[in-house]
Amino acid sequence: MDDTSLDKYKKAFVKAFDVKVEILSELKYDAIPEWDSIGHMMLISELEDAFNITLETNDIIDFSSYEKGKEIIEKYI
Amino acid sequence: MKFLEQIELRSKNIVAISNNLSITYADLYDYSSKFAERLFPDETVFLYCHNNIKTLIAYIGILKANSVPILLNSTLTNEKRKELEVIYKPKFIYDNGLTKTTRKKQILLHNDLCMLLSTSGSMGSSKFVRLTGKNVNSNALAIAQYLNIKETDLAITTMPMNYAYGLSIINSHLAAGACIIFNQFPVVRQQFWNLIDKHKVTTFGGVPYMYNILKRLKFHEMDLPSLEYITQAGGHLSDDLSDYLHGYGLKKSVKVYKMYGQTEATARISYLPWEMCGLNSIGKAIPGGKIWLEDGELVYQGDNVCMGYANSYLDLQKGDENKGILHTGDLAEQRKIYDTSEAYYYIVGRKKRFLKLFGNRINLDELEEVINKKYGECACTGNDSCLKVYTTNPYVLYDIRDYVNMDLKIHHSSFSIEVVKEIPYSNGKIMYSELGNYATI
Repeated sequence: MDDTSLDKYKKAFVKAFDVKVEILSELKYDAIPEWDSIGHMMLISELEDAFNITLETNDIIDFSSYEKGKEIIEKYI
Repeated sequence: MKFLEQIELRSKNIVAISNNLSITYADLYDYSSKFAERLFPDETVFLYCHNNIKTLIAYIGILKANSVPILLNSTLTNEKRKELEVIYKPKFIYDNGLTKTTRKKQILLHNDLCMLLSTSGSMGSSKFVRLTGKNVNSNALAIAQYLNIKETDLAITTMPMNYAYGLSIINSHLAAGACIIFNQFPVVRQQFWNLIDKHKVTTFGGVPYMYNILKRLKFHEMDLPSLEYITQAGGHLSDDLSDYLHGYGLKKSVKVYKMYGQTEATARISYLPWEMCGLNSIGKAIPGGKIWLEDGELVYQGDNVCMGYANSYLDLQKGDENKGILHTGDLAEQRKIYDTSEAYYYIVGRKKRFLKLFGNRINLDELEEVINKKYGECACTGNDSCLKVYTTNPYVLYDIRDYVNMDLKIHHSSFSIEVVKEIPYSNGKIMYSELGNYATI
């Protein structure tokens, strides 16, 4: 992922979960109260807006961590 | 209670599956009887609900011991738990394990009191609904009847057990001798769909928000051959989502039941027969219940109407204050259905000021009172997608924000807090529609 994309990627997390950039690399589903099913869908819609993409169902339910999400988003950009 | 008798009758059926473990009705009978021996009758027990078999055994065990379970969300903070313990003085606390407290018995609980349910789910309010065995039993049987739940049915949990709708799914399946999969995963996790596939799940329920997610996940394109019917309750459906569910049912030959209820009625008040799913209506009263309108307000009568509320331990002595009649606070209309002799109810508004965010009820007047006490003058308003809090003091903005976010567990995108120059009043009442004009920025 190039720097511009990585920046967008991080911003989507910060917007969806209202968290600091420093904790992102460790982030997993359910690891913070904000990343529940509601937060998950907020994150997906932030990412879709930021990259102007539409995620497939399999990718939405496979999106289990900050790191895993990077691999998924790379397929679309 | 009748569904406790069912547990003896259907001994060989599998009652619950969770994490590769499964138990039969006979097992549940044995385990819950053993659990009951550790308790005392006529005492309150805090039951922190997890969607697992242990919680089910504890739940049935507490009922068998004639103790009174107070069903609580397992995500409550320690601070909230302590606060509730002071107010309700439980003799035992069960949270995946049993703890005995040092509290001495002080009052005689009302003889008919069977369990306490919260009206606000995850928010940890200290106000509970007092239910009798007759309430719980009649609602479970009525639901099992109109949904035609069969012994071969397999439901998967999608909600916490302390939430009235979630509990009603468990109770009605127990009443029918069916099986429940206790699942900890939400619909946005692969594991949830794996469980449906592996166990050939026939049904689940959901609040409107969950169906919104399912729509986004292209639920209509998923191949789920075992699914026979789904239910929806816990809030008003938008016309768009109502149409989506109707379309889903037609395309997939899955029966869709739109339903309506309140914790005060144990759970269920009305349902729309699946054949009529094209309507965005709450349908008609459940078997054994009656609905009518008083000045536009939906009034319900049935064996499932609670005895009343409890705000403290002392209230647990109180008897039946409702006498089977519930004024719901929802405004409704009855409309004749074209070409049939039926007339169904439609919710058209609310008499009381409350919101439903993600299926959880928020009473705006109560919230206003709490914030007033903690942080000074405020006004609460909004709609079912966003709660709005107005304060006149910019220095408490972040305190209120943390309170709403952390204590009430409302997602930060679903509320906003604004500072206003003053709260506008007219004849002693807040003019909510004017608040936007008083913003300081």
